[in-house]
Amino acid sequence: MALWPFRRPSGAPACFPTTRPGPALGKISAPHRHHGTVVLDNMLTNTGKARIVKPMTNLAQLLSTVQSSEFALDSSKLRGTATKRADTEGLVKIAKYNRTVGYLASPAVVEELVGAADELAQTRRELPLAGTLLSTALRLGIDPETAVQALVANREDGAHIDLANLASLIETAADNLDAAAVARQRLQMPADQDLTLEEVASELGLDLAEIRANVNAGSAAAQYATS
Amino acid sequence: MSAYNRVYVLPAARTDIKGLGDPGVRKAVVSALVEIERNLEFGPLLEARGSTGDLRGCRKVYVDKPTDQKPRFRVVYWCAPSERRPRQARILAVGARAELGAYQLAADRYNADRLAQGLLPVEDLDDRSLGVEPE
Repeated sequence: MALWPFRRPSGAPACFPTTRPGPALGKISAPHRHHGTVVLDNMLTNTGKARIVKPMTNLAQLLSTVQSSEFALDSSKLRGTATKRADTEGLVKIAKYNRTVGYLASPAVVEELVGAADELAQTRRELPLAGTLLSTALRLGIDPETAVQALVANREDGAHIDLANLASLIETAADNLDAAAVARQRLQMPADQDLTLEEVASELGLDLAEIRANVNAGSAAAQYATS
Repeated sequence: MSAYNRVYVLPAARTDIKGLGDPGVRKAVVSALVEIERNLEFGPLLEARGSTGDLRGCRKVYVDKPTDQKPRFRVVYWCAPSERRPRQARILAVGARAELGAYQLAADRYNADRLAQGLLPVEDLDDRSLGVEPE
């Protein structure tokens, strides 16, 4: 008896199901929109595994995720839906089972975020120098409130660190300090006194006794007129 | 040397003298100061004029090294504490005679020196108080 292959009456092998389940490719559900968040229920890959997205703790990681989150949207329909939603909302969070798996942002928001990141990076670079300048300002006797006001420049788009302004204030204070030192030095100099005839002759390198003798003798090396 | 000093040169006037380039002129100026030391009323009295300011109580002496020309320099001084009782000559300015610079410098320094001596400005005093009233 032929045990193998056992066939059904229809001729199909009896040891295998007639239909074999394929990979768990669920249907793409409609995104749930809630407060600018697009929740996509079907985020499984072809192998049935959910993608793992590292938690984002700072802006740099957020930007990294925004730039690479597109790969998590495996279907063109999901990508289209999320992209459209991102264009409308600016920034959407992509979540699966209440777990954030990525963010998708419109180009304008990405530009803004990159700009903000650059500004933040610059601020972080300038902060140590700002601390040094503030310390110098305090040592020069500048009022702390004045120094901080000079350091923080309020513009239309918010407050910014203005190192040049504070440096200028410090330079002015240093110049004033130098001027004060010069003034103190001048004050310490002995005041000019009236000079006697002997002192004047001595300064000019003249022999006053000889001049007196000549004047007394009527032979002074000078001519006078009184009218 | 005198028992006490009868001539005092203001610091600014000392600068005037040192600014005279010719050593012969400087020596002539010092000779003139010796003449003033011998006779405090050596130079004639000045008056209040619009071009020179109020120099009542001051005196002038023209001086130069020996030449055939008129003396080219002017020394302006005043007698303290007053013309009536002169005890010392205070040299205010030395400058070129051709200009009125010495007068203008003296006018600026005169009142300052009077105040330094504890005296009123000349504008606040009449001729009698200054001791320059003709008798």
